[in-house]
Amino acid sequence: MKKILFLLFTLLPLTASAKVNVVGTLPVFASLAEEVGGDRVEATSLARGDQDPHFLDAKPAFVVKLNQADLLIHGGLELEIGWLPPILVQARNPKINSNTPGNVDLSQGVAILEVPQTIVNRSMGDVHPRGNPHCWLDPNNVKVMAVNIAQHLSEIDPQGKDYYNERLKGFVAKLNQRIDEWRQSTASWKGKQVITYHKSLSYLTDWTGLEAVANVEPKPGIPPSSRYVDELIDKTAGWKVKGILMESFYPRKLPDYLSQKTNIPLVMIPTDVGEAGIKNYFDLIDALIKKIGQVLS
Amino acid sequence: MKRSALIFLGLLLLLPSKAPARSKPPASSPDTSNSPDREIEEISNRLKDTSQPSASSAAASPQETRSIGIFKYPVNPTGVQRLLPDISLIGTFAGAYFSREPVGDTGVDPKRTGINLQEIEVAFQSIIDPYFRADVMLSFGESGVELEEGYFTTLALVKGLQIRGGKMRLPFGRQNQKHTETWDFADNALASKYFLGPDGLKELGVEVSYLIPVPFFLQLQGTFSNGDNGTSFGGTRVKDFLYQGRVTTSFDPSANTSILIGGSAALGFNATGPGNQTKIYGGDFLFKWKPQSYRSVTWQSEYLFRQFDDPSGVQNDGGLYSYVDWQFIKRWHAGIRYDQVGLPSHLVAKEYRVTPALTFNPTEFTRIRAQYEYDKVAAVNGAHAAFLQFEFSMGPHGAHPF
Repeated sequence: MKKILFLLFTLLPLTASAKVNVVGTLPVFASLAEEVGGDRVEATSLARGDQDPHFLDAKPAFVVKLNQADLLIHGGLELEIGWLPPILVQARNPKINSNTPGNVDLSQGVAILEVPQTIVNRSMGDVHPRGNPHCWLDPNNVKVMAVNIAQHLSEIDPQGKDYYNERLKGFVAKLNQRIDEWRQSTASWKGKQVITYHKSLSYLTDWTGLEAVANVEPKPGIPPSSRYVDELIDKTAGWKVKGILMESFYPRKLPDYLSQKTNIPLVMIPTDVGEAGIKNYFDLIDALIKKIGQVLS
Repeated sequence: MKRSALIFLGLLLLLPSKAPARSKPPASSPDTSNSPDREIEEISNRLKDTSQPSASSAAASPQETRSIGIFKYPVNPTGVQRLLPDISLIGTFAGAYFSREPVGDTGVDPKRTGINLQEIEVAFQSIIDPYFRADVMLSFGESGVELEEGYFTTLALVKGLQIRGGKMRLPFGRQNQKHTETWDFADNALASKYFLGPDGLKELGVEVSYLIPVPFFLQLQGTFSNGDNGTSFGGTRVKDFLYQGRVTTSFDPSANTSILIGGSAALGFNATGPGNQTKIYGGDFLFKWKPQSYRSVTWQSEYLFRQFDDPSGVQNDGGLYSYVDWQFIKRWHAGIRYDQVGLPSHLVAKEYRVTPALTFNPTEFTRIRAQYEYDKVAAVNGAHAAFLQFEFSMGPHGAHPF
């Protein structure tokens, strides 16, 4: 027993790191922390880019990551409500409890879309009562997120404040430049119609002017029935839909069927960092614009 | 640059008309022609104003509301919210057929041929202050109501350390810690029922737990409680307390798989005579493979061994269950469980049971489950049972424990 304890305590220093240990719930959040935090942070994420952020297991490996974190970055707006609350309690890490400097709610200060204006109940499907949480697909929101992250980093690591502010400036400047480019390459998108699987693309369509005429899900979180898809096929006759956009983690069977029957191409799109070749936020928006652009033209 | 500025202006003009539900932040929308410095300052000021969650949207729309389940409460635009706890309610009913009717206390399991109310559980959950949270669950059955659990949990002790106190399901094995609605089958596992009681090992007590800071999950839990459980404990002397502990470890062999291994022990006194001890030891194993967001295979097994002192000596009993649950598409699960008690056998008769089940979850808030059971006790003829279970859940999103 003594030997084991000795081993445990000699291992401890190995797990400690001089860098700020940042844990993002999603890879895109960890990636933003890297943009702002540079060499001063070590950022990892709980989810992978190819997983549905609503449906993760609250598994013990996550508890360990959160226990060792100096900063937790989450999307807020109940995006992770199905799995984050219990592991946050189990992590027993007072540094990252809600409303502490070590806990970043990225929805703060962001212009939120689809905030319900009526009484919400679940006959509407899995509607988020505080608005659509998939807000990182609008690069203007990402500026707010980056500032938010920089403020929290500066608070828990005051020595790095100037460094974080310098990197933040660089990131925002680069983002502004890329936003100009993205606006040019999506200038022709305005008013063009698409069908999206889930309401996860509302921010992208809002920002680019794309029109999402329908979702493959009849209601958020409710998988479509084949009858619903048949109705959708009939409706497409009256539209000029250019593409059906869906993330790789949703089931493909019915979207494939919809695509075959209507001759509208089905496009598998990334919505997070970490999918093939997408290393950071810029890659993500580049890839989205490229993939969607191909079917629109 | 000129062209892009024109396009941007055009977009700005068009945007408001097609985004009716958008709640604009107080500051004007950031203009890309701004220098990063000014823009960052603007955003920083905006973030300072929004020290409260959702304040940005509250400021924008005076009818902003806070929703708790199906209820909606207006939030005062000055930011004063009503601090109600999360309230949720889960109802579980089952139609049942038994070829041999069950006898004795069946806990929340279906108890007769016909329609059974297994449980209506009402939960109140809230963070109390920066240091504590509390969870209270009441269980309404056909014959009354009882406090299922009611405990506080510390949130801000030294990193890794946590204390819970109140009435709780003790951390003995996996099945005992789970509420009815998180079971993968319509009824309890036999070994858990026979050694920990039809309602499980729930006690008034205190738990101290520690997450050991190593690169994998290693958790120690120790509890001290009254030991009132009538099935294995319930010593008659005032100081007949129950001492219980558990160690759990977990690691991910690959990105899509997780393994969890636990060992539990409980030491207390039973009601067969002053000083007569009961010791229960348990080992549990869980393997989960989740290659995609909506597909998974779970294999969970548990073995319990009980040493029970009674006037005739030490009685040794044991039992196990092992099940596989396969989520083959988003809303469907198929499972099969094998139960055996009487390994060894002394007070508890040898019994085994095979239980296939098929579960459909129309949403995360409803469940329909069909289950069949073949049960055989020692030399008695085998018995059949079939259940059709229905469950609904109202209130906030309950997170799913692992």
